[in-house]
Amino acid sequence: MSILSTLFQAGVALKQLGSGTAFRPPEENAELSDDVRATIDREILPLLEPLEQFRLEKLASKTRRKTWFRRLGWLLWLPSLALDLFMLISGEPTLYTLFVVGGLGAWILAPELQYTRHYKEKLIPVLLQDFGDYTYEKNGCIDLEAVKSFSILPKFSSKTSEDYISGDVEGIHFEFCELKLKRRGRKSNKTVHGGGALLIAMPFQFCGYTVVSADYGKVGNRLTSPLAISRVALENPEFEDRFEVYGSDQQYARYILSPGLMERIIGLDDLFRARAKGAGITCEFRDNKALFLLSYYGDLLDVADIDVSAYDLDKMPLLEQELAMITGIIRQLKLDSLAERNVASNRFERTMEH
Amino acid sequence: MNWIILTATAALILIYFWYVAIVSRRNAAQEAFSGIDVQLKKRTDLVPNILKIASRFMEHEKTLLTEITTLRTEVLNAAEATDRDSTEKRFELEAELERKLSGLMVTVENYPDLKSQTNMLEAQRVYADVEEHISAARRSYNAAGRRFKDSIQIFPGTLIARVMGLEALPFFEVSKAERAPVNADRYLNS
Repeated sequence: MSILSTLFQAGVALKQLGSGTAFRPPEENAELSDDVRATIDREILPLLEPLEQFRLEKLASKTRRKTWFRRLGWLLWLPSLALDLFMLISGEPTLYTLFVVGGLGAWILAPELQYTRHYKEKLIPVLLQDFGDYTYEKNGCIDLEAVKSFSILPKFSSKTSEDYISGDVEGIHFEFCELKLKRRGRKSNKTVHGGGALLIAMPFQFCGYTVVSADYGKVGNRLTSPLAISRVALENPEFEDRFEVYGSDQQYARYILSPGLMERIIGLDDLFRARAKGAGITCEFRDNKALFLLSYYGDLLDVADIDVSAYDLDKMPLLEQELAMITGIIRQLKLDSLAERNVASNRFERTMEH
Repeated sequence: MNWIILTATAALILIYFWYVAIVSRRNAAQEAFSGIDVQLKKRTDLVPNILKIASRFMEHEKTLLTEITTLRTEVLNAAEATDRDSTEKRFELEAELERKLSGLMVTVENYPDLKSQTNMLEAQRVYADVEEHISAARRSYNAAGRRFKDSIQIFPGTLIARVMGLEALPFFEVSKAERAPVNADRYLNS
């Protein structure tokens, strides 16, 4: 499964490179909205002085560490290199140099990571308020326990998460985070999911389950999907080209994946591919939850740069666009309208029963 | 001699598997039809509720309301028979009912008092949901119907269908009015 997934992602990457739709750098000349501009003037600017102070401290620390590495680093890496060479000659190759250089690199970059984390913790919660009553936690994670029965959630042995955003949109609760899931292999751990995860709690129950996964081609789909589940053939050729749909109920799957929603999922897929070097969306509708796993490389909300002054707000439009994209998924997919209709329908059925 | 036996055996196996495919596709189409039936019944149940709410405010639309009531009765009668002609007739009536109901929903916009009624808002949402379900059921049924039709119209399916007395199921299409091109002049000139 993971080999196919990797091949598929490589295929998508090649296709995107060929068609010129591979990761496009953000539009630097994008304008800030009036609301965000006002928030920046009112709430962000006062935060910038201590933030800039913190940046200068961390930048100085990074520069110091670099200097130490240049001057005395050889005391560590040279003996390890000699040891590696000695071991290589004696027929038992080792990788001590790699570990030493890696460790030193992490030590040098630690101040930069601290600054990035600090920048996010200070600015994102303030900016988020312009989009609604949302909460932000640096290291939070969506409720994975609630979706452990979902078939699109790969089996994993460890997880790391960051940039947790939660809140309500039109009465629908959502949780988003950047999630990395790893599975322990025989020789090493392998990443089974890297990117975003969006969990939406709908105010009604889905009938059975409907799964939208990546299309691996006829043979690949046969190999990756259990025999018992039945495929749903949909009418949108572009959607069929990108995704494979399975469901416990053919008709209900078509109801959930209306022609409009199919178009919107394609749009969302394009958006993430363009914004975040992505390789596709998978989603599942089950119980009263919709889980979207958005595969992409890198970090979506990573706009802090230790080499650039904190007063330089050039990347704010990008941050605004990314926050708007995350908090706008429910509206973009029109899941609020789906929820409204279902709640009304359930109420009507109850009334008819009485 | 051997090759005759081999060819006959291969032909028999092919015919058997084709027969199996036809039967399973027919069953799938019938199952999809029952799904559509449930959703259409839901809409028929919803109609009196919508009319009840609407009639209090839409004094000037009595003709439309009466037409919908009559059409609903005709749909209920047509739903009782299950042969191909009756099903075709039913689908036509259902399409007409859908067109009239959509017209009613548009007309509601002209009655601000009615439009703002909570009951009407709820009814509109339920109606929209039922229509989405019908649309999904229609796509599911038509897809199953097409697969069945393919299997009985391609040789040797034609022979098997003739022996079994099978014929293609009617497609459930949107009303002719919905397929007609929209004349935007009226809106653009107003």
